[in-house]
Amino acid sequence: MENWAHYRPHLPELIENPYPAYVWLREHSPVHYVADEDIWVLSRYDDIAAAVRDDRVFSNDEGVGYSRDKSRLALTDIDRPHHTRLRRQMLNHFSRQSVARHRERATEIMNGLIDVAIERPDLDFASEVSMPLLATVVAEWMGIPSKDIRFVNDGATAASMAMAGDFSEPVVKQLDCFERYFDAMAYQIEAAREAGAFCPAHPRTLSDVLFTPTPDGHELSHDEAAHMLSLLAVGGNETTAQFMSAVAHFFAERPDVFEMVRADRSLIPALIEELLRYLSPVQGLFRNTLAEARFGDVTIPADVKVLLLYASGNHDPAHYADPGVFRIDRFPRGVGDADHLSFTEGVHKCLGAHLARLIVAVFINTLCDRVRQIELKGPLHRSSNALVRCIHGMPAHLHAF
Amino acid sequence: MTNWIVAARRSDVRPERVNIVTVGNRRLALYQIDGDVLASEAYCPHERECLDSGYVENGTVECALHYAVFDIRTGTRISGPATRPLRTYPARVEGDEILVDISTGAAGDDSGCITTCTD
Repeated sequence: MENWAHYRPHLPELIENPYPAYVWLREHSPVHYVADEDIWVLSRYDDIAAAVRDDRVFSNDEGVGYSRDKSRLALTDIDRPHHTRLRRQMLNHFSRQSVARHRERATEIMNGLIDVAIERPDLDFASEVSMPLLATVVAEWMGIPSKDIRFVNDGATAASMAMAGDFSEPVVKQLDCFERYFDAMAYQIEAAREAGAFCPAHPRTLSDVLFTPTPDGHELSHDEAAHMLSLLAVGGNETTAQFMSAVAHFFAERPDVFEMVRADRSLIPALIEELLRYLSPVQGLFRNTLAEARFGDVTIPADVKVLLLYASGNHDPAHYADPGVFRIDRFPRGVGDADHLSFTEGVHKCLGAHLARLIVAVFINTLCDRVRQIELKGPLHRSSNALVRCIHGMPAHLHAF
Repeated sequence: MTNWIVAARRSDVRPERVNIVTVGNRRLALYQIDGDVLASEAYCPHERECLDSGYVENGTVECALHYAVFDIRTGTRISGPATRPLRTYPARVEGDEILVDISTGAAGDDSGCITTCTD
């Protein structure tokens, strides 16, 4: 086994395949310190699960990326009790019952994208199918004009890169524009509300919801609302789109699974959960410690950043038998059986998890209906993002029936 | 000692949904799953969120606040932030009445709850 004692998240050799490093970390250094970045890394399922459930020690108040910025005020950047209050404000819009109303429109959008993409010899699946499907659904829900979708999506990508520690000038500039966009959007919604253009009791868009008082009467500040808007755009644009490209790539390499699911659509919930584990679109996210935390004979000090490698936990043989093998019967009841870490766990379990599942289910159903075969026409282009396994280019040919 | 109480009429309990009922000072969640009647405490053991907006599927219930998932028959936590299982109660049907044995549950189940159930 290769020695990965030099492991740090940004090693270029991890972009194509990070899993050998995770095997070494779990076996030899499960509580790993990266000295030149001053970060700690947890890689075993049980340790990660324990950390995310202990939010009194493993805090979110510096966000989930490399930054140590405490000024961010979105759901991923705050702890209880404020986190609970803000989450409760949003939950009726993200519950499984609620997100089902997006199914019809998402199906319509996906069919439109397939109409354009099918049998195209020069198709980039990632930018022409996965990205616009999710971006359009989320933009319409948030009240973002269609002319701005590309800009918002590029900004979401920059935000994701910055979260993963890329503070290069182009990324920082694009991120600044992205933040200003949602700052302005927050002012527009505030003005609309003050002008009586919408009733807080009947918000028109998800963005309006942020300007509706919580059940206990709390109103978000301008900065809180603006930060939540940008979080919704990042969460809505980046990770799920990457996952859909990875699913299509998986179908191209495993046509037997594609055929099995096409023949029996009742397998889709179990398929999605196993692919969330197997493909792990989010490789890991950070917390910061508010106190010392002990794992075995290693103590992580207080006030440090800790990377929780969800993808490694999802492939931990101490928790999952044959973790490197795709098994459609691993979570037979779908969500009801799924204990993977791809949406994290604890109080910060991804608010948009059910919307992501719904969009991916629409995506898979439509591929099954319309596409006989997904043929890869070139290598994947993966970005250097160390926290989200991004596919930014996927040449493919979609064969019709 | 068992303590069977009438909790609801069967016809009032919607299948594959969380049905919140109040019996005395106690709130319970009732379910009809594959024709069986099941009962649990009405609040998620994590942060006492009422389960009335929870989602029932394949014999599991998911709390809407943090997406904790429990097996309704056993109370076992499958995923999510809760640190103890969902308390379940024996339930049976007599005629159109649903009876629940609350002797196995601690009194005052809804003490400290932070949300209000919609009965």
